[in-house]
Amino acid sequence: MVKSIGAPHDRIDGIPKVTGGATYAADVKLEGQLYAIAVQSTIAAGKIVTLESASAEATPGVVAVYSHLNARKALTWIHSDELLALSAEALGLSALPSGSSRPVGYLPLTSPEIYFAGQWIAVVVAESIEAARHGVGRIKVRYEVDAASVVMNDEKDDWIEPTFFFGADMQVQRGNAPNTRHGEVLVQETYATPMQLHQPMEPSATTASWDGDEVTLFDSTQGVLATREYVAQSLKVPTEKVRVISAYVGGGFGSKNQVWPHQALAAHMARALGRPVRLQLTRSDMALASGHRSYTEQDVRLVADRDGKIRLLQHVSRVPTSIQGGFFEPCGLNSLLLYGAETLDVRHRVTRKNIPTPTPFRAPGETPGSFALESALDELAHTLKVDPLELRRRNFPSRDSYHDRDWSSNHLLECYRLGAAAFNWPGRYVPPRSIREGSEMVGYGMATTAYPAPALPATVRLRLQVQGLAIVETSATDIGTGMYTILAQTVADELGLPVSQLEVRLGDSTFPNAPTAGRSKSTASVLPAARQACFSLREKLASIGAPHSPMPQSNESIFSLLERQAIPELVAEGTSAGMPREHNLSFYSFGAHFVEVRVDEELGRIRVSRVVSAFDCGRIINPKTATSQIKGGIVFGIGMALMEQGEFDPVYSRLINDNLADYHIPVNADIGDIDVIFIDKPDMRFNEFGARGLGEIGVPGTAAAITNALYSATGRRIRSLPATAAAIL
Amino acid sequence: MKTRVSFTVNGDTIDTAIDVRATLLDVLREELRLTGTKKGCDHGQCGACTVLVDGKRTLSCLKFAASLEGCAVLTVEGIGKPDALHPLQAAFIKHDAFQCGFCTSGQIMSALEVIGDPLANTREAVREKMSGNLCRCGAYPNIVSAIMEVKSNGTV
Repeated sequence: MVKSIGAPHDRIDGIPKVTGGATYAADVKLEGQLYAIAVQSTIAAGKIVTLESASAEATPGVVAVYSHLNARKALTWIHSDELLALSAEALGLSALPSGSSRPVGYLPLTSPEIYFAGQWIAVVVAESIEAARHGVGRIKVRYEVDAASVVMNDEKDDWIEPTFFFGADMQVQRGNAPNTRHGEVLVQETYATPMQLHQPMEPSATTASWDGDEVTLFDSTQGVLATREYVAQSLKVPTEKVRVISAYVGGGFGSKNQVWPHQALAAHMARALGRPVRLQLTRSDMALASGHRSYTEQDVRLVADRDGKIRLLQHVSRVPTSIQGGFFEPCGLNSLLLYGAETLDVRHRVTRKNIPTPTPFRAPGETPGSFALESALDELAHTLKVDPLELRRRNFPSRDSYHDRDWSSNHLLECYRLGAAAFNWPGRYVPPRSIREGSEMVGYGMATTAYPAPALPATVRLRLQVQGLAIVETSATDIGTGMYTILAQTVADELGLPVSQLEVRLGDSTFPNAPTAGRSKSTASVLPAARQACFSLREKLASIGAPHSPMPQSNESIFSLLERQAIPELVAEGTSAGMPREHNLSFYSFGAHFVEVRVDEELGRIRVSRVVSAFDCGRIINPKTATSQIKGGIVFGIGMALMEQGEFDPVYSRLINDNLADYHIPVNADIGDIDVIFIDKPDMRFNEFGARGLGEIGVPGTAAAITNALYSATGRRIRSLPATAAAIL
Repeated sequence: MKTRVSFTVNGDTIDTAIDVRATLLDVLREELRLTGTKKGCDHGQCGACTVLVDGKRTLSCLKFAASLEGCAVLTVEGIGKPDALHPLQAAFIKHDAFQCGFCTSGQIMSALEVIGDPLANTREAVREKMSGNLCRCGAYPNIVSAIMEVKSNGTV
């Protein structure tokens, strides 16, 4: 039988997705179900003085209105430290000195205080979507307005120095500053990246339904177990009384990685009203109530020898968080690891602003940080008049000197070589403004990308059924990643069954433990567990009379064995260990982007005409879905480079573009050819598949490769994203 | 306030009293339980709710259901079945033209018009014609490949 792993396999969830049969959270409609829509604050700081809901409550079809005035009593909706610890607000708080947040991790509808514009201040529940919307328009609020601040000011703001976050010290100063010898080269610039909104196509939704003392949530989350824990804590019920189902998730990118209040609020309202409730976020809520990537400012200073060897790398980031939360962008992560500078000065400063709490967004830290670092490398290359690729080769980190560890596997040089060859990279220094074709200037740019390879313990259950079906169950989610498919491939190979005899079930908290789908860790967490489950199943089969090993190649024999022994179902579980313990190694993935841009300087039109990116992500389980996921990451990078920017109104401090017309994400016409190359060398010291995750690594570096190409085309250095027509004209 | 309206959805006649405020999207999803059509933004900005009304692609979130008297609505559920896919549906699977799948119904309904559009004969033209349908997962190149294959072969 042909091995499935490593072969390009169509998604096994393809048919439900192309026929409309895949059920997402808001597709569930239960008997007697009500609809809830939230009301947003129009001010960014201050206090609710009066909130009049009588008119809304009198609207035909409206069943209830909840706000800080009644939620505590009517819904038992109460903030607590225990709840905060499980919430999106808490991520990062431990890295910030205690007392630097006041109040710590607010919960909407618990007080009249307003900390950011768009904060939820009420929820209207009605018999229909139309009635709920009508009710929202009839809520009348009077505020006492305080001064709000949404923009950083280096001198006036209070700055917090965070300690330890994302496995790294946020204040690294190592090595001695090199003496400024004759012939050393300096780059010293400030780079800025914009506020970005995740905006997955599916707005988050929770449909909650009680049956006695048990509640089921049809939810849109990257992690059903984390959601279950939060919701149970909020409801003050035992965890096992809460079931969370997310069989299909319409994208997340981090916005559904943490747990947000709406997920519990739906359950509280359903309990109080004795009917199922669906609370769906509006597109505007997706910008304000489920996190975002904050804007950043980053100072980078490089000191290098004349031959381009980087001696000092300084990277100081200034980033905001919210008044009450903890998350901030750890921009310096890749600067600690990538270019082996003997002197490192990588620090972060955080200030509190009247913004919604930021949250992880596809390669948090690495994405904005790589823009600054990879731009600075390009500036150094042009200062030295050296090929930017050659400069990176000269600074290749042969080991992880920050952690004083060897890499488990590092084929970055191979990424450089294969990517450059496929792109037809010039291979010599090309001065800016060298290539004109017709009305367009043409430029080439490149950048390195890197992302860690984490893994957590996970469990997978196999249920071999006598009628000829093997069911695979785990609580992991497939948010578009391909988890359904790669699990099927893994089990198919181990049991010698065709994929058509497998049914993979995901995203249900009653299934065995698996980590939240985020931080590129699911493949390395879940697949080894599936393999262990297969081993366990084989042992059970052997004990009832099947041959030990290898598995019979004829699938009939497994199932006919069950039939002969009159066993309707054989169940086995397998658990993975998470990170390997026996090696003191750094587990990272690497890659290199090569970009061609074409710029019409008279029109200010920028086109990313060609992208070739090469990646070392260990062995690729499914080249088809992996290529798609990486292309998607590159499309995110194109959006970041050229158009994405959340903007606050300078007077009212409201997010102006909380919708998909004003917040631009790439459309089909923006995206040209993208070629993805995988080195495909297994990292056998990481796991027995040699596979590392690849959900994030396509994003970091892409924006810098594009602006580096823009410099090559036009001679204009873009240090503040996005690079719009205005930046070129 | 309710009003009586009669139209067809996937060939079935719908003759019912509906809330005058209700959009076609909400009637499809909440009343007729055809949830293949998705609500991505509810403001005509993303294309996830695209259906065909009298053969033309239409954003169902911007269409009052009460305005559909005598119209013929086609949704993703009406173009193919799991065991008898429309060539576009098969091509989307073959070319991996989606990841999370949430925009997919709208992409396919939009593509249904584009495959019959004589002006959309190159990848560039298809990209332009498909730019009203957002895909945050970034499946765009694969969507174009799927459409081009159906355009050139009429099948997959």
